[in-house]
Amino acid sequence: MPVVGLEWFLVIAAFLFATGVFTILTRKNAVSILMGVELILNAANVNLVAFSRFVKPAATLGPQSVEFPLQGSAAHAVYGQPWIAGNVFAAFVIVLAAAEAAVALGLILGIYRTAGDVDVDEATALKG
Amino acid sequence: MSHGHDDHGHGAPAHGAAGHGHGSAHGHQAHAAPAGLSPGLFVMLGAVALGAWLFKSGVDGHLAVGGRSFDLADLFDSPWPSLTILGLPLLAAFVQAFVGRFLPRRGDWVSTGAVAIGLGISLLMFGRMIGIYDWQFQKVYEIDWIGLFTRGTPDGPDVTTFRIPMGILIDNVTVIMLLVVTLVSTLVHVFSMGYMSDDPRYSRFFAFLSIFTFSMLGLVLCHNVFALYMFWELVGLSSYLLIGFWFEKKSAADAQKKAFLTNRVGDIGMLLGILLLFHFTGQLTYTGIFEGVAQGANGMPLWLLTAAGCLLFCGAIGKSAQFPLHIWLPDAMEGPTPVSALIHAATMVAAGVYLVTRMFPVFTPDALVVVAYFGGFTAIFAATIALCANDIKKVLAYSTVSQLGYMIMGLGASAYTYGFFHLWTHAFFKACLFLGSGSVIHAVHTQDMREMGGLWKKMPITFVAMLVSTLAIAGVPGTSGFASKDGILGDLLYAAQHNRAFWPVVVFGFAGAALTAFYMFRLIFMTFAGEPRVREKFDHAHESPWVMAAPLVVLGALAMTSQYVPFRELVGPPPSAAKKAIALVQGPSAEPAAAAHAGPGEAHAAPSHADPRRPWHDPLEHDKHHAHQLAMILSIAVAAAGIGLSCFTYLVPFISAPKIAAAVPWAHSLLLNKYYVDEFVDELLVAPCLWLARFCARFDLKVVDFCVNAWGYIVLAWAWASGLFDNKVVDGAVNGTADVVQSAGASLSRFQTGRVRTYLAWSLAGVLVLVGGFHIVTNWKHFRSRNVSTAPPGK
Repeated sequence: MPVVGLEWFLVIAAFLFATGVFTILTRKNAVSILMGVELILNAANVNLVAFSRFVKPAATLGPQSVEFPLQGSAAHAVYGQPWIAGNVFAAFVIVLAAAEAAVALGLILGIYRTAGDVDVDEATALKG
Repeated sequence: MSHGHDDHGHGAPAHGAAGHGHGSAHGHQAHAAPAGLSPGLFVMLGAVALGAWLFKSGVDGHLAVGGRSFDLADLFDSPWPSLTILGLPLLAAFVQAFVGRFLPRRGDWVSTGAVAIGLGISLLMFGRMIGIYDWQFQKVYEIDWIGLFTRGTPDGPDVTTFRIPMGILIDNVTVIMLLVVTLVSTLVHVFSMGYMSDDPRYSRFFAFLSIFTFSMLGLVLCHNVFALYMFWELVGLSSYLLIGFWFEKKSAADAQKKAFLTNRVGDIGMLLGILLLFHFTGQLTYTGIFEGVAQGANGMPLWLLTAAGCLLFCGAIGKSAQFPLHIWLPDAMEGPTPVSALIHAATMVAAGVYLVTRMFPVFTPDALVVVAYFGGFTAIFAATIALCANDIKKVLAYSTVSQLGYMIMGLGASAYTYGFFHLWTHAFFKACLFLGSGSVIHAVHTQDMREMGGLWKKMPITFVAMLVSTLAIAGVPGTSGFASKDGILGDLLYAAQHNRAFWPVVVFGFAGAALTAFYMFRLIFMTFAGEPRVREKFDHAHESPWVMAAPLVVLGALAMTSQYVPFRELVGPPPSAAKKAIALVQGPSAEPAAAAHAGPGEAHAAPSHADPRRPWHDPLEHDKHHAHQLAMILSIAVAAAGIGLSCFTYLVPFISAPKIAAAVPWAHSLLLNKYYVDEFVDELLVAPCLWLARFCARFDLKVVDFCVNAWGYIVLAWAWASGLFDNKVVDGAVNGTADVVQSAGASLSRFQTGRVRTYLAWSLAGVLVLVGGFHIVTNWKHFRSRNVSTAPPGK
């Protein structure tokens, strides 16, 4: 049975990212584009969490590599990997995505009220 | 001192309320004849009595007031009496200048009171001087005034390398000068109350008089040459202000400028002399300079010391109106007559004599001979001009110049005592003559003696006072002028007998005495004797009010009595100069005799505990006896000759002056035109000065202005070029940048389509390029090596 490694997660994330980009580039509906953006954000989340789980922080953070104080202890066994920076980051991104969705939906609503439509190709008032 | 009560009286017409009362009394009867018993007479007598009492108190050394006795023994132990005399007129000047107009009587009592209080203190000091009776009496009070170049020393206090002390020197000469100045000044103040009463600038006049009095007192009180020079210029300034007091008259305005500028010429010399002495001795005080000179003045060569003396004497030439700078004094008669009496007869012009007296130890024998020649020549030169003058004040002015010449000549011939004595006596009789002439002018409203005549009937008091003073100036025995002038001539004769250099001077002296007697009696006869020449002027004439007549009476009395002051015992040359003075008059060959004679003089210099009274004794007195006898006979003879000739010419028309004038027309016109000195100065000095001034003006207009304008044009051209550069190059660069940015923006703005998906596509492309590029760059070696490795198989 193949070991589920980091690559698996990265592939999933790349797939999600590509799907998001494709959605954005192909859809005219603003709401669909927003959904594409959400996909891209979540691809990033998957990456963050995966790296957090599989990559031990390097010496770049300090003079010596950080040793988790509970390494080799029972606590290590119970809690698994101890580095949670990526997870925290992912949580931030989720919150950010929620806020972004609220702002974006507000904008879309505004566009809709102005133009009577949510077709982004028609909303070119900011062109140079 | 039975003469004491005559010497000084009048003191105090304005001791506070008394002075005010005095003035008011005359306000009522400004034009009433003084005949009979008027309040003015009593005030005058009271003031004389008060003055005499003050003098007597000074001699006794204590002042008894209402049962209490104030000790005056330490009158000189404090500078405050002198400083009071000095300060009050200054205070009065400020009061007069700012609020004088609003005071009762326009404030004349402020100035008069200030100087009268000074006179009171001066009388006390004068009496005290006679009470002390010490010819070497001297007190110095000084403070550090200016300190420059102060440096700290490594371990010690700061050291100031240049100090100017300020202080006062009180000795017999100072005390006498104080009395002369305050006495004449007080009388002139009182006289001015009448003479100037109609003037719209009455209080300003008194302010100026006060400034002058302050300056003159400062001049005689200060103890260093720096302050001397300062006050010297201040008296020059006050003289300037007072000569031009009626500045509406162009002649007055011109005269004041002439006086000031002429004095400046002399003052420059004086300043140079002071600087020379300071350079070599490093001292500014009199005593310091004298000590320095006596010790050789740090190698100052003798000829330079002579030059310094001559330069100092230049100041005296200017201020005391000696030839060739005498020209300002006759013109100065444009000022009000009381001013002429105070400044241009009695006090300020005596400053030059005072200067020579004070600096006597500095003058070398050679310098003294120069001094004597200038004085002697001036004495006869001015006397001849006075022969033909018809303006009463001009006659007196030239007479003043001549008499100052006598003083200077006396000092030059080592007649130190008599030279200064003549200053003293001359101050009174000449002030009397001037005030008398003022009284006459006030009465007849003309200064031309040819329009007067017979006035003695109308103005008896003025006549008698002027006659007495004329007797004094002519040198009639029994008068003060005889005592002093005869003393000068006697010393001169003695000097001439021993030192041939003085022969011309002594001839000038005796000839001048004869001329003086002649022209002064000519003045008296033309003014007072004979029949009135202009009837209506004579009819309007009247005796002056008491406020003007009283000073005349007092001064006339002084003209007869001031010789009784013990001058010969109290004023002598400083001990350091005694040997030089003897050597000068005895000639260089008489050194041993001089040394022998210097003995007694020096013995007197030593303090004697047995007798505190130390009179001065001329070591040559015995030798001079015969010379003085001869001089007395001669001077009486020349005075009698002059008076007699004058009588036969003007009183009894035995000799006709016009015929003599017609016989020698060239001489007459020479004298009438004052030897053409003014014209000479105009042509030789003023004209070149004007020429130089015009040349400078033209130089200024043409050359300097051309340079300035040319520079202006250069700057203009430069500015034009700079502006061009700014407009074209700098602005071009700025605008070019803006244009480039604008066109770049315009072309780049096409990317801003406004389509979100386009942007995203571009970003994606950018990311791909970046990532791809990064990959290629980081693996460049790998790419190359692959290329290299693939190359050979292709070969």
